[in-house]
Amino acid sequence: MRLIFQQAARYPGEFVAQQWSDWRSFITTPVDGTMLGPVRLTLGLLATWNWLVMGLDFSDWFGPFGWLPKAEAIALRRATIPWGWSLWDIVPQSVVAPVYGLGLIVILTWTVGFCCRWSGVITWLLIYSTMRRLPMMLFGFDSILSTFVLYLALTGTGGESLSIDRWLASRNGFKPIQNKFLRSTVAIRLIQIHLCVIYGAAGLSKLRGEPWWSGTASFFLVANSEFRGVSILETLGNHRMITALFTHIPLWTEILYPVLIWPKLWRPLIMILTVGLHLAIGLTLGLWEFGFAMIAANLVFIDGEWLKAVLHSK
Amino acid sequence: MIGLRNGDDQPIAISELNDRKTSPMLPNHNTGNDLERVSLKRSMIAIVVAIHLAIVLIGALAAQPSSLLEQALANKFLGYFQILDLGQGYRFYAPSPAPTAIVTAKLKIRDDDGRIHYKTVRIPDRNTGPRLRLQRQLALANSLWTEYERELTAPGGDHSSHILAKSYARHLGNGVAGCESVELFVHRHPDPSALENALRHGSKLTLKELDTERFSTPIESLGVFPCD
Repeated sequence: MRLIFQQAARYPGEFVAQQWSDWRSFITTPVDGTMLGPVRLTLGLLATWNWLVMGLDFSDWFGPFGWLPKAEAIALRRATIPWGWSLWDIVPQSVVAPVYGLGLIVILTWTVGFCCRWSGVITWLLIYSTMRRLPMMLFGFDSILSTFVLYLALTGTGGESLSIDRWLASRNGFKPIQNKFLRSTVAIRLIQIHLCVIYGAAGLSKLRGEPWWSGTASFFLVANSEFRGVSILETLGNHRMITALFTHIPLWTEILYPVLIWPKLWRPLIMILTVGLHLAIGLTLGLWEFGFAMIAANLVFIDGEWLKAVLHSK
Repeated sequence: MIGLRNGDDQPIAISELNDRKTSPMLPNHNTGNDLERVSLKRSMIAIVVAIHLAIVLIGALAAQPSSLLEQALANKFLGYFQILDLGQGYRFYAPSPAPTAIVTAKLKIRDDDGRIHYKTVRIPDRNTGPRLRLQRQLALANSLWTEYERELTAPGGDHSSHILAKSYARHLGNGVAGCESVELFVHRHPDPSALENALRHGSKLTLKELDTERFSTPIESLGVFPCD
C-alpha cells in the first residue's frame, strides 16, 4: 500500500519533469529549416500582391477623403483597440504616397529574401500598421498573413532557402552541412502549433452549428452569390449526398488536424485534405489569398531534409 | 543569410550543442560555461514559446461564446493581443455560414438647374476586380453592419457615434458635384431562414433566384448624412 502512495506522490513531479523535458526538446532541438524559404516566398508574394491591389484604390484607402480618414481611424482605434498602434499615424499626408512606394520596395526585398532579418521585421510593421490604419477592410487573410510574417520576422528567418541571402552566403563560402538552426526550429514550431490552434478552433466552433451536423453548411456557403466564385450551387442543391460530403470532410479535417498532422503516417493525408479544403474555398468563394497563405504556412510540416533527398535522388 | 558567420548567428551558436557534437565542420571545444549558457538559453526560449502559445490558445478560446474564466484570462492579455494582432477566435463560418452584408448608398444630388436626382452606389460592386478588391469591399460592408449592430445593442443605447457610417458617407459624397446628402442602407444576403425554408421544401435554387428580395433580410436605413 505504501508503495502505491509513494508512486502516486511521485507522479506529479515526474509528469511535470517529463513534460518539460519533452517540450524543451521539441522546441529547441534543431530541425531542417529549408521549408521556411518557400513559406517566406509565398507570403511575400501575397503581401506584395495585397500591397499592389491596395494601390489601385490608393486615395480611397489613404486619402484625406478616403473611406476612413486618419483622424477617424485613430478615434475608432482608441475606442475599440486601445493598445493598437500604426506607423501611418506619424506619416504626414503629403508623404503617404512615397512611404507607400518605399513599403512596396521593402516588401519586395523580403519576398526575394534579401536582408531577411530586417526586411522581415519592416514588412510585418507595414502589414500590421496598415491593418490598424484601415480596420474596416480586413478579413481572415490579413490576420493570417500578419501572424505568419510576425513569426518569421521575430525569429529572423525565411532566408534559409530560395533567397538572395542564401545565395550571397554560399558565394562567400558558407556551406553548412545541415540547414538546422535554433531560430529556424523555433519559427517552424510556432507556425506548426499556431496552425493547430487555427484549425482546431475553426473545426470545434462549427460543432455549435446545426448546418454542420445536418450536412447542409456547404450549400449555405455556395448559396452566397456575393462571393462570385465558380458556382456549384445547382450541383449541391440537387445532390444532397454531395452537399453532406462537402460539409463533413472539411469539418472533420479541421477538427482532426491538430492531432493527426503530427504522426508521420497521417501527415500526407491530412495535408492533402487541408490543401484541397483551401483550394475548394478559393474556387467556390474566391478566397484565394487566404487559401494560399494557409497552404504556405502548412509547408512547415514538410521535412526539408526529406524533400532535398527526394529532389537530389533524381 | 547575410552575416551568418557573425556573432550569435554563427552556426555554432544557433545550432547549439547538438550541432557542435554532430557537425563535422565544427570543432568540438565546449567549456563548462558554454554548456551552461546554451542550456539556459534553450530553456528560456522553450518557456517564452510555451507562454506565447498558451496566450494564443487563450485568445482562441475566449471568442464568444466562452466562459467567464476564458474571458477573464483573455482580458489579462488584451494588450499583448492588440499590440501583436493576435487573439483571434478563428471561428470561420461558425456556428453556421453567415449571410453577407450589403450596403447601398443613395446620394441626393442637386444639379445646376436646382433639380434633385439620386444616384445609388452598391457595396460591394460585383463587377469589381481583381478578386481581392471585391473582398475588401465585402469587408467594408461587413464593418458597417458590425458597427450598426454594435450600436444597436450597446448598453445605454448609444447610437450616436456612427464613425464608419459618417466616414463612408463623406467619402461617397466627396467629389460628386451638387451632392447634398447620403443615405446609407444595409441588408444581409442570403437570409439563412429563407434558405433553410427553401431547402426544407426541396426547392431547386439558382443564383438568379437567390438574388431576389425573398432571400434578403429587410433593408434598414442607417441614417442620412450630409455631404461635407
